[in-house]
Amino acid sequence: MTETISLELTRKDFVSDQTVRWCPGCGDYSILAQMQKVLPELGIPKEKIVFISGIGCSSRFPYYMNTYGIHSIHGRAPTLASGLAAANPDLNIWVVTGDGDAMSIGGNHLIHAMRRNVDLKILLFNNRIYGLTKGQYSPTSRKGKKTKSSPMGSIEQPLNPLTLALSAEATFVARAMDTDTVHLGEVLRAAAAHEGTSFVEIYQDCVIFNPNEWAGIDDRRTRPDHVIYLEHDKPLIFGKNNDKGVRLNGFKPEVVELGGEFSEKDLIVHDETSQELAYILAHMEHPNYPPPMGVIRQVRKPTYTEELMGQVRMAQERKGVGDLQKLYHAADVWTV
Amino acid sequence: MAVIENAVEATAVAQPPTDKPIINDFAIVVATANGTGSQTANMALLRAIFKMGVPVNGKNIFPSNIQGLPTWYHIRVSQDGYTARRETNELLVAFNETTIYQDVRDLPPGGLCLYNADFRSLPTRDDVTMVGIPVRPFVAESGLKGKLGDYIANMVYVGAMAYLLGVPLAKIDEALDVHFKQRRKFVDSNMAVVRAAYQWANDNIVYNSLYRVEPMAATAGKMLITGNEAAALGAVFGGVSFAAWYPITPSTSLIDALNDYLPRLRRDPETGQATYAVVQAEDELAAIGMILGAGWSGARAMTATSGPGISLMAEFAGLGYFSETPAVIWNVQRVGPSTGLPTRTGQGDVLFTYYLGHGDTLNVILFPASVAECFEFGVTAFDLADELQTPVFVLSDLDLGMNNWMTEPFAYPEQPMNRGKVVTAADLQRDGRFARYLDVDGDGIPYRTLPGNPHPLAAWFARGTGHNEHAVYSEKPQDWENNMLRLRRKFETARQLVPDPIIQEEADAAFGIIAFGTTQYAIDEARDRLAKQGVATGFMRLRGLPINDDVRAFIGRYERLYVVELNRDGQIHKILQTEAPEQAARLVSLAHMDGLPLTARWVVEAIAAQEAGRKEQTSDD
Ligand SMILES: Cc1ncc(C[n+]2csc(CCOP(=O)(O)OP(=O)(O)O)c2C)c(N)n1
Ligand code: SF4
Repeated sequence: MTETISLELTRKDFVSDQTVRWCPGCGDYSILAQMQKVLPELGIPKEKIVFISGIGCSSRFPYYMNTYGIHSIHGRAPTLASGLAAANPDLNIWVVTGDGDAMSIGGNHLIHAMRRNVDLKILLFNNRIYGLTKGQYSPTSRKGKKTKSSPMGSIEQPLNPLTLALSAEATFVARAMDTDTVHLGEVLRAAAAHEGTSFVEIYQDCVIFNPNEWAGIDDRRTRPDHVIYLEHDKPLIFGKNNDKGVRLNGFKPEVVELGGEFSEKDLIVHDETSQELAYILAHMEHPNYPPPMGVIRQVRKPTYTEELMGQVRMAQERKGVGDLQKLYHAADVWTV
Repeated sequence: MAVIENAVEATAVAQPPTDKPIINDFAIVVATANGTGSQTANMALLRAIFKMGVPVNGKNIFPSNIQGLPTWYHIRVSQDGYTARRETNELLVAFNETTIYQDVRDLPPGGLCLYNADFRSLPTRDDVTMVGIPVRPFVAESGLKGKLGDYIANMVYVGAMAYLLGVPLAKIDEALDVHFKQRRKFVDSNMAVVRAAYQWANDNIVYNSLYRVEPMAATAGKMLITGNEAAALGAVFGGVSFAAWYPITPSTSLIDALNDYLPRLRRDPETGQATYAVVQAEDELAAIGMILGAGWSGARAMTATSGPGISLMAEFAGLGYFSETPAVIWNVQRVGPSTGLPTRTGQGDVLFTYYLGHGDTLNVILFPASVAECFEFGVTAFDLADELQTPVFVLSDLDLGMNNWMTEPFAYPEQPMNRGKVVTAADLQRDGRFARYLDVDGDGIPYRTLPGNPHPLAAWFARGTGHNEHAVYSEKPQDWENNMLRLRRKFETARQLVPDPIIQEEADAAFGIIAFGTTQYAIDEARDRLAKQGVATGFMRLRGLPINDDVRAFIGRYERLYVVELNRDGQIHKILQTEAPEQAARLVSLAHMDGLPLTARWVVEAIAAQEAGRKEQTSDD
């Protein structure tokens, strides 16, 4: 009898032989577990999957994925990933980054990768603190946040990763949360399916240096009353008993109780293709609003590689396929 | 000339004779897990011994991880005042179950292991003494739970070690009092556990430790401080008014210390307003950009970083050099290339920093070797930067920056600040002319005005592009060359201004040794060991670059010189060979790099191997 070799991948195929070294209770563990669960479902050969990261606790993520990967330098992962994507369009490339890595030292690279719509899936683990360097404030830390490097409270306006991604014209912008594992899995699947840059902000718990950042929304029992799960074409309803919703009052979103003065038809209906709505949603921040979870914006535009290939094709059509020999012997080659 | 015989045996730690106590001359290693708060316990032991008047040094060998991985804290007790790391530790506190087998294996025969008796399995060794103490009962007794319970568990080994070593409880109390800044509530709750563990040890341990601490008077008037704290304090005394940085181990604690000292020490007495600013920049590139902006306008501006940050600063370093803008950059070195070993020590950034910047860039570097020098150079670096109008780099290292070292109290700077050649509106009124890059004095250092000077001649435009003596854009070949040659003249002037080397000559020295920074301690000890074998040596510790005539003269006095440093490629050796080419052949590189502080044993063995090789060669001839 001949043995059949199964091509089916399982979670185990993506678990590397490295011992995971985050602090006990760190939110990174559950994100890792979800990723390892989702990848085998995508039907992508393992050798085509690459994880690239910068520096930070979160950036150690690729150590634990049994795939190709690069643990690079602080803030620069998008540059390596963009080069790789342009050179190897059939790879499935994930960038794992922290709020400091992506939005402080690497802010510039992040913007440009998204603007170019490079085929990358960028996962930003947002714990609103610097973990690896032991607890300095980050560009996403709240104003007034007291840390070692802001002993009197941060005086800086925090950056909102979602509005930043939107203004960089990212074609896929979503949010998930480490403790909400089932939903996180769904968002990862959606990000994987998108062509072009997928940008996912993942609320992540740094239990050591910023343990209470997501208080109220990270607990499974109270969460339904404090976040909104977005679904395309569906009204913005939330609450344990589906008794709350969000409507527009002028340009301002407003949380309303359903059943009395307002009913479902007064509510905003989610439209993943609307950049305008996306901004409104992205600005709904905890604790003033229930922060939206899920896909905020998703549109299909030509990816960087498609544009690049398009140009090459056009040039060839116009000038014919190049002949290096001829170019070399052409008279004006050496004129600068 | 004496031959160094049996260097290995001669430097190996002698086995303790079974009956004679070993007083004030041993090393302890405390094995715990990262993030369990053992630092408080280790500092309590270190400080208590220090307060008994006994010279002591502590080194934290820690992982790049926040919680859970193994950490070792080395405490060296040395009546002779030696502070270098020792390869052998006779006493082990085994409080990490995951490393206990390895830790016990590393003990020398005759060693002592104090272990947590709650551990499930234990290594056995007949030639070391194993003493167990249960930890859980003491934690339960304290009533503290969770993380606090974990923290307080470490006090159990403090109490037991105090008993074993003969450290009075009152000294531990004093040490904790300093640690908790006189908040007695914390001191008392910790002391309750220490006392209980001490009592338990007294009642249950039937073993008279051979290793004892006995009071001395060698630490009176001294203090314990880390190099980073000392550097920050120096910078405050040096008049720092602006700092910009981006967090990176092992330099973070330098800025933390600035943030700690500045609010207390730098407020306007009349208005109560802060007279400084510390900015956490978005990256190191931004950090050096910010301090160059501040330095250009006359502020005493600094940043602190480590290897990866220095890499990012390369282009701005060139601008600072070429536009002649003062700034101070502390590089607390860790192990590279790349992210490397972020929590280990080394001296691998010398070559890169010396030439940092493209084109013909040359940088001034200071090498502190002690916390006192960190303080001193905290001041000196600003003076040099202002005097030479150039970025000044201070190359410290993780061992110096993050560990606690004994020192005399720092002296208040005697010299007033040197702000260099700054011309005021009144000067301009008198002289009637000003050219920013003119070499008026022949030393290569031009005069500068500061923005805000209202005189019509004062304004000039700083640029990274080619310029003439009037700071006007120029592509003229002669202008370019003149300017670059003047910058070289300025670098020659710098040779006379960087701190002189420290030189120790011996009559009949067989050879010279050259080093810089914290390798000094291993070398001091190694030289003593060599001297005991009748091998006298000369020693020069460099304190800065570029080198001056004293350095050349020292090299010229020896037939051969060993250049000792903590990197792979012998970086300072290369620089010395380039700068003193006529003497290059005398310089022998002894470079070593494993991420740990250098030991005397390594130095003696490396030199012995070289000397033996030489002997063979000569007898072959
Ligand atoms: C050029 C450079 N500067 C600084 C560092 C030190 N560093 C390592 S990680 C980090 C910040 C990490 O914060 P974040 O990106 O939020 O990730 P987290 O650790 O919270 O997951 C810093 C400043 C470095 N590695 N390289
Ligand atoms: S420091 Fe924070 S982010 Fe880093 S591993 Fe620990 S819990 Fe996670």
